Amino acid sequence: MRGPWPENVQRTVTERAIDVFPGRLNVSLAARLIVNARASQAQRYTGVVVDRELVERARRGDRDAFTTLVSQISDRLYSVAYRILRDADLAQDALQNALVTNWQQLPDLRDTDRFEAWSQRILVHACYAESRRRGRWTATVRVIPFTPSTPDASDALADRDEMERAFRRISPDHRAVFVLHHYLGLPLVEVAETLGIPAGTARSRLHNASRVLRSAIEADAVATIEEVRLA
Amino acid sequence: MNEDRRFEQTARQFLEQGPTEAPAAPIRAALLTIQTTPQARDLGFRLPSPRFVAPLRLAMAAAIAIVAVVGIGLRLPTTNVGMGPTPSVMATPTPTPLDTTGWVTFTSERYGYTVRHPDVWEAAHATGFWTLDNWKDQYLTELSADVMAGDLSNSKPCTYEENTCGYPSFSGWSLRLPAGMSEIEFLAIWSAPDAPKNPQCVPSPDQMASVLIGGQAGRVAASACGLTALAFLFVGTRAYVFEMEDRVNYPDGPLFRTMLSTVEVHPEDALDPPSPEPSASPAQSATPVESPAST
Repeated sequence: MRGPWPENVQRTVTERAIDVFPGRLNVSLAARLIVNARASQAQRYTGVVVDRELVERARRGDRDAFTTLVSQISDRLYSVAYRILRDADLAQDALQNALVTNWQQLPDLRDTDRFEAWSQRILVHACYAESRRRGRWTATVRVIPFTPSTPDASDALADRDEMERAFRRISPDHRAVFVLHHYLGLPLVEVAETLGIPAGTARSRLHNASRVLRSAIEADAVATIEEVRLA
Repeated sequence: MNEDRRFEQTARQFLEQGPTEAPAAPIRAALLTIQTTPQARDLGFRLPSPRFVAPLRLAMAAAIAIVAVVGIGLRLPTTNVGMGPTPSVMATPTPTPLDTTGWVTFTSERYGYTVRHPDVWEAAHATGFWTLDNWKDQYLTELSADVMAGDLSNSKPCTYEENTCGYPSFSGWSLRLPAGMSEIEFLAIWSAPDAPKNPQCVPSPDQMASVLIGGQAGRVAASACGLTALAFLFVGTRAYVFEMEDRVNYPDGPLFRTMLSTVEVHPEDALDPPSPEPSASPAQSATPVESPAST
């Protein structure tokens, strides 16, 4: 079970508050934003509180206990699956398969404290399997027409669209590292442990994924400047 | 807003989008399947996970060392690296060096060192600076350590682009110690409870063993969690850190020691991160900043 809110997450939320009021940070408002963000994100970053006894009972074959566990972890697993696969249908299939695998392999779990990380690993592998089975990584690329408009709002939107397109170009294992690190806020060491890969590999995957995504956004920024010049 | 901030903000916003609640259908379907699906019962025996194998290896290595010291009467040399009172250095066997014929030299212009590694390994230069300010959030958007890695067979080239590089993996970086921070204090942050890498796994400074890094006395610490070994060398006010990750072999083994023996440090060539801009933000000013004037 993860401990208190990691410092990098605290900083992330603080920075977000600062971003809202660049150069004129209102401390009390920022504090309120942080509190609100904490409330909505605490569960994502710290994980759900899974009852160890429930895990132990489920390990021994108690289906009712497992049903309760499923209700506790499904939202988090689905959120991760959706963000890796970028497709609701695929994410639902991955979640369903992961839960069944979870049940089947639960007796192999020795350290019940690792239940959540173990479940995430199974989910990520289910996502890999879904992606291979459907073979839709490139087919689902959505082409969004670029319409230059007012810079402020559309810049952020255009960035996210570029991010979406670039994200679909990177492999599932790169996506998994990116999502676990940036969405769940797991340190790379925990990402590596969750995925069962060396930390160096997790590091290089995150680096490569970030590089691809960053390039896409920067390329878009250059294109936007060119559009403005031509207009 | 600079490009880093823009990227990080966009990444966060991008990931925030999307559902956060699982639909009922897949859960219902899974629970229905589970009603008729038996669990895969184990036979009561399994190999421990790598997370636990390594401490066993560590214990075995320590036991071998004790036998060697007590039985043969050999007294392992310990070196005082000038950090105050001599710590009770853990006795570890000095592995037999590997044959480095054919190895290639990696040069880190950023961090001021060279090291040799097997020619089938892939090396990646750091793209940003490792600092005490960013170390808990490193690799977010840039690689802040040099990384060299081989594949599992250690006999064929691997590439980072195709992600075929795994372990062993050797990382290296250096930094100027902030003004007022002693070498012991720097070593202690690795074993602190909030250390970002293997928290509570790295032994405290007084439990670190002596090691020769390019002929100079340094410290080495094998993580009790088994995944990594860290080596530290202080030259002037610069701290060098080298890390070996290996889930197959004991990380502080012949490979790490041999690579460390090939290290040459050139602190005078090392670069320092640009001076941080003064900031009025309380959140930003609260974080420690490396002082470039601590030479």
